[in-house]
Amino acid sequence: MSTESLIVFFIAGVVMVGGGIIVSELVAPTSKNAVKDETYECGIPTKGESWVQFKVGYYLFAILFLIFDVETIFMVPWAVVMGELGLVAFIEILIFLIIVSLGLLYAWQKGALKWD
Amino acid sequence: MIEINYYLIVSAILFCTGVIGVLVRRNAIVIFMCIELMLNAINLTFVAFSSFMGNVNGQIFVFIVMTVAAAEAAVGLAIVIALFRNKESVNIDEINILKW
Amino acid sequence: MIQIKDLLEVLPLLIIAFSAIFILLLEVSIKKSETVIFGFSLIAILAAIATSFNYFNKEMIIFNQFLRISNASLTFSVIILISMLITVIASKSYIEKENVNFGEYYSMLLFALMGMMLMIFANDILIIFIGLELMSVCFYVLAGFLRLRQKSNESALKYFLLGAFMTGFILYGIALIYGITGTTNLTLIFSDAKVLTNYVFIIGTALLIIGFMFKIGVFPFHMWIPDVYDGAPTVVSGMLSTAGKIAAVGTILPIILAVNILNFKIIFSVAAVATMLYGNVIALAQTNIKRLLAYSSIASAGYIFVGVASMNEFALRGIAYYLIAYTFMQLGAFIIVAMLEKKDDGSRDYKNVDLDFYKGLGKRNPVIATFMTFFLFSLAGIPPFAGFWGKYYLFFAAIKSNQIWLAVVAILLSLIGVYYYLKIIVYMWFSESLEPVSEEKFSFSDTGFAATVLAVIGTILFGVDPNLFFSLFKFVTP
Repeated sequence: MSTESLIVFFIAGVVMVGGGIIVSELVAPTSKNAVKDETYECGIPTKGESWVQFKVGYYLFAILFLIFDVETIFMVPWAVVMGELGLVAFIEILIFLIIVSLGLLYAWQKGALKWD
Repeated sequence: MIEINYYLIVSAILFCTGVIGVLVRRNAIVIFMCIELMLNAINLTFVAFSSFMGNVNGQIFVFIVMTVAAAEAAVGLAIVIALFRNKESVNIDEINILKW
Repeated sequence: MIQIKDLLEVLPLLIIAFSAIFILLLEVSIKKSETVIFGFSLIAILAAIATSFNYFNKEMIIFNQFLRISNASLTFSVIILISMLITVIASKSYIEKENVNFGEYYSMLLFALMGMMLMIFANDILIIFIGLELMSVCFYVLAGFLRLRQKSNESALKYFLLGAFMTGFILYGIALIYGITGTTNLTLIFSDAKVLTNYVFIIGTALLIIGFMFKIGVFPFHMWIPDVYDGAPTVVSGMLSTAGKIAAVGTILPIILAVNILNFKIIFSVAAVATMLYGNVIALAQTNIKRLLAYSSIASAGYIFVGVASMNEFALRGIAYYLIAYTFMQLGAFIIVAMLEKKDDGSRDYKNVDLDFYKGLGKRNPVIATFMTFFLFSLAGIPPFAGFWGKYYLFFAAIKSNQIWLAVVAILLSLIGVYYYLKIIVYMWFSESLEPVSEEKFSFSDTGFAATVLAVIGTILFGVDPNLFFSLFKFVTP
């Protein structure tokens, strides 16, 4: 791809997206009133602040998910070459998974997976 | 084929954006997001070099960087939660028992 | 392909790794397992020290060239293990006192230890990075371990944000080095002399070295040290200032020597002088003993960099000797501060860490005051304590590399240091207590006391016979 086509691509992208927003702003019919400005337009007045306190369990789950989710990226390259490397690679990934699941076991025993 | 310089320039710009964000923002979570941006800029550099040289070392490094970023995120969020429970704020300016 | 026999060559590393994981399982499977875990981690560290001595004088590169076992790296790792051993012993009574007696604490210490050893044995930048992050992440957690104490939380957050920020710079440096050389293997990187003068390579190496200077606490990257050491649990502060620094020095020293940037000697010299000046001068004004020790650790980083700046065959001897002396004296001083600290009473700050509290300590508790005096004399560099020989070998290395001015400046600046160390000693022995301090009994069954005794033995032993160290770690006389 040459530089010129990149510039054309960039300008075309800006014009199409930006133009769409501007045109819809100009053309679309709008009505403004107090109800429109509310957070949810479902007729029920909102109560309290949006900064409510969440149960700390949510964060615990989020952190656990974050860690075990990322472990997958080590599995993907393994899966690609698994066929060529054979048994050795299988045993190695097994060791890796055992170590990871020991972490899960720890979290489980600590009660991090309980929801009440 | 786009030259490697473009990738390097983009990643340098991203890295600098992250650095500036860390230096000027005042919310611990936003600062942390800027650090993640720096790490992702570095990942881009690694992948660009790796594909330019046809050598997979750089991509392996990216895997490790991503995992480390996740581990750091987990620990960082845990620290922020612990602080928030004691302090009710994640604003760096209010974290002032130890002078910054 | 990795061979099974390679595993036998890194037995100390394996012992630490397995026991760190095993402790986590022990913690969840047995109730009230803290004492068992304490004993287990002690045994693991002792076993690692014992096995380390098998590998001296066996230079080898193993695991697909990922790890390199050499005398220098073994020396640094044994010093770290000793520092961790003393930390673990002292921790037991401290975390009981602070009501955070959890098994995870020891697990975190062992994981950090594993990271540090990995970093020192690394022969590949990838391994350095993994080790560095394993160490740092554990340190962030340990700094915030007193989770109900705001000061500890803040210290952890600061350490975390600045540490992660610096990780970014280290990684960018690594990316540039990789981009120039096409490899992450240290042997291959330094084998090509042409690459070493490439300016992008130099920028990359500089970023890497700057990141490690941050971990060591060299001016101008020292600003986190007083805050973090002040807020972290006191025993952990001692560990951060000894083991953490030793690991960073042990990792970066071979790289600095291999890059062979003799033209940049002057930069390291200036950094060393600025660090010593800053640490020693600011320490004069401190009223909190934890902050004072933190500034003294910045000054110590300056002394270490005098050795780094000399870049000759004497540098390694000097740095290794100073580090082992520093481990005993600095850790010992921090442990005494930890022992004298007031029990956890739900407050957000640490009590009894002001210098005023130390007035009249000699009358209230002569044994502890005597030990503290030993450590402070050693830190001030007064013979016959280990600190004197540490500084002697460092300054000797500087003189041998034709940097006599550096040695002279370092000696003058360490004389400033003598003032504030002696101030504490005068407070302890020649001042009256400000207010009648409630006579808290310091029990001798306290494990902190055992750790202090170990540190005192080390300080005196290596002070009386400096050659003991060189024969123990198989140093060849240059």
